[in-house]
Formats: sequence, structure tokens, C-alpha cells
Amino acid sequence: MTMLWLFAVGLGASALGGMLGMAGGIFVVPILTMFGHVDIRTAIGASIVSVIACSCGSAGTFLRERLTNIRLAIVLEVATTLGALTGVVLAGVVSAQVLFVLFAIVLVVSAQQMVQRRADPIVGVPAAGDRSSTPGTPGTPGAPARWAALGLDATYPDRALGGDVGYRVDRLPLGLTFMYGAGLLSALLGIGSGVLKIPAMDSALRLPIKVSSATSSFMIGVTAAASAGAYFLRGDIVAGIAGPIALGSVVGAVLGARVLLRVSNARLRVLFVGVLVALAVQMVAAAFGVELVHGAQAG
Amino acid sequence: MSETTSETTPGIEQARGLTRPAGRLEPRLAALLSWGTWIACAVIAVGLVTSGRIAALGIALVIALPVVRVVVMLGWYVRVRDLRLAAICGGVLTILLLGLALGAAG
Repeated sequence: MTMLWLFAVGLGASALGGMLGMAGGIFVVPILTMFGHVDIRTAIGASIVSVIACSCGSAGTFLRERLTNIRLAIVLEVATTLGALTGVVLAGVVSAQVLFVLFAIVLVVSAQQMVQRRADPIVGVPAAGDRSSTPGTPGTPGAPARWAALGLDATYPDRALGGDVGYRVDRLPLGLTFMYGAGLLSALLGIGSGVLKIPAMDSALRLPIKVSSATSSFMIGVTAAASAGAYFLRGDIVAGIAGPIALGSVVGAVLGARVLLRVSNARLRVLFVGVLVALAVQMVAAAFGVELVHGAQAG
Repeated sequence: MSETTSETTPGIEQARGLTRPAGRLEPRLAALLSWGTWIACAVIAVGLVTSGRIAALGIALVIALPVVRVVVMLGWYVRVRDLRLAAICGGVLTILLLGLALGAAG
């Protein structure tokens, strides 16, 4: 397996995944196991490093544009890191067969989410004069008393509307529950786990899409670091595989943001749904020892 | 320092009589994450053509970057005396360190 091939895998997965608001990990693990003959645990270790690199590399833009709610992010990270810690513990006892099946389920649910376009939840609370232009207004009037002290409600700049738009963070306990699951999946499968973060941000917390995308991207790094540190110290992360993948992923994230977003993604969306379903079928087959593509087997 | 940060509402701050350090946290985090990512990637790239140990160091830097981000947030919230958020940052940091301890224990 050449470094160039691994670099290309990271670049392609990150660029394509990023275009659709997903981490590249969801593509990295199936490609490495199916076409690279890499053990699924080694693939997960490589993927989790690329997920951190992409998250950190892309977070700057959203932070500068004031789309990221950093106060909400750190609150939710309590749940995601706890979930990741649980995942680290479970990773040692869950069989490769179960990991393949779990991955297949995540692929199918991701495909379903891709078909169902995200719609902005109820937003548009006017940015009152006494509210800050960035997250962090302790004691926002109208917010539930229990969470108001955390100052999670905020505003974000919307160029289309020509000003700041206020939003309120709802149903925090439900959001924390989803986030725990997201952290668990992230650690077990080496993915950014947008499959749970997206419903958590959109449905539970009812955040505007721009804010949820930026905040989710910001959180992915810390969530993944909770398990990556453990995998690294255990020796599950192979530098010769994870290194080129991480480099490719960072370059792919930059390219994806600059180039691919200009492409009309209606047809690409359909194509990716097909790819995700095909990968899911292959992962299920691999779980039961059937080689549709040479190299993927549950060990 | 008497300048009020834009991360909090000036009116509320003045009413509370609190003062905050100048500037905002977001641009600092943006600079940390952007520069940190490129430095870690450069170390990995050098390691891939020279030594596996250097590549492993680069990967360790990638993994450490989000942890450093939480440390910076903790320091910021302590400085601005937002103790609730500081305690939450401390909790996240503790969980991250527990993860490392789990890995070290094998």
C-alpha cells in the first residue's frame, strides 16, 4: 500500500464528505477495509486522526465568521467525550463482526439523512439591543431558568438577511443524550458521527443549520480526541497509515470547501446515496464473511 | 484591563461591575486550531519521508490540539470569571485525561 494511495483516500473522502456536511471517516474506514485490506481496528484508528485534523483545520473559518456557538459546544462536549470514553471501553470487547454491522447501519441512516434535506428549524428571534453579537449572554431573558445561567442563546450573522439573527437553545437534556450516542459511535467507528449530531442539533436543540454545522464541526475534534488518545497509547494507530490519510484529509477539506461547494449537488447527492448504500451492503457482507470485494472480512 | 469583551453583553457587565480582558476568544481559538493543524501536518509530512517516530509525533500533535483548545477555553473563562463555563471546561478536560489513562492502562 503506497503512501500516495493513502493520501488520495484521505483527500477524496474528506473532500467528498465535507461537501455533504459529513466527516470523511464514513468513507475512509470502508475504503481501507475493502480496497486496502486493512484491519478494521487499524482503519478506525487512522480515520479518527483524520477526523480530528479535518475538524481543527476547518474550525477557524466558522469561528472567525461567528457561526460557532463555543459555549454550547463545550457544554455538549461533556456528553460527547463521556460517550467516547464509553466507546473506548466497549471497543475492546466488541467483535469486528459487530463493528461491520454497526458501520453498515450508520451508512444507511446517513444515506437516509442525505435524501431528507435539512430544513432550518424555527429561528429568527430578533437580535435585541441588549443581546451580544456572539454567544455568551448570561441570563438571556425568556430562556428556561435552569439553562439561562449558561448563556447558550446567541445570535449569528446572516448575510442574506443583512444582520444578526437570534436563536434560542431548546431541550438541552435531549441534545446531551443524542451527543452521548454521537461520542460513542465516534469512538467505536472512527467517524465524526454526524448521523447523530445532525438530528441532535436540528431536531433536539433546534439550532439554525449554519450554527449547527459550525458548532458540530468545532466539537468533532474534542470528541475524537477523547478516544484517539487512548487508541494512540494502546498502539492501535499506525503512523504509516494514519499519517498520509490525515495529510490527505486536511488538503481534501480545503479543496472541498473551495471547489466542490460550487458544484450543484443535486445529482451528486443521489450518487452518494448510492455509494453509501453499496458500502453498507459490502460491510454487512464482510460481517458474515462474504467477500463481494476482495479484502473485507470480519476478523 | 478595563475593556469589555464582545463575547458578553456590555450593559450586563457594567451593571455587574465586572471587567473583562480585551478581545474575543473565537479569533484566538481559530488561530490556534489553524496554525496547530498546519504545524502538525508539516511534522507528519517530514516524518513520512524521514522517520516513523517523527510521523508519530505529528499524529500526537494532531490528537493534542483539541485538548489544548479546551485548556485555552478553561484559561479564558477563569480570566473572565465565568466560573460555570470554567468548571465545564475542567470537566471535559478531566474526561479527556481519563481517556488517556485508559489507553495507557492498555
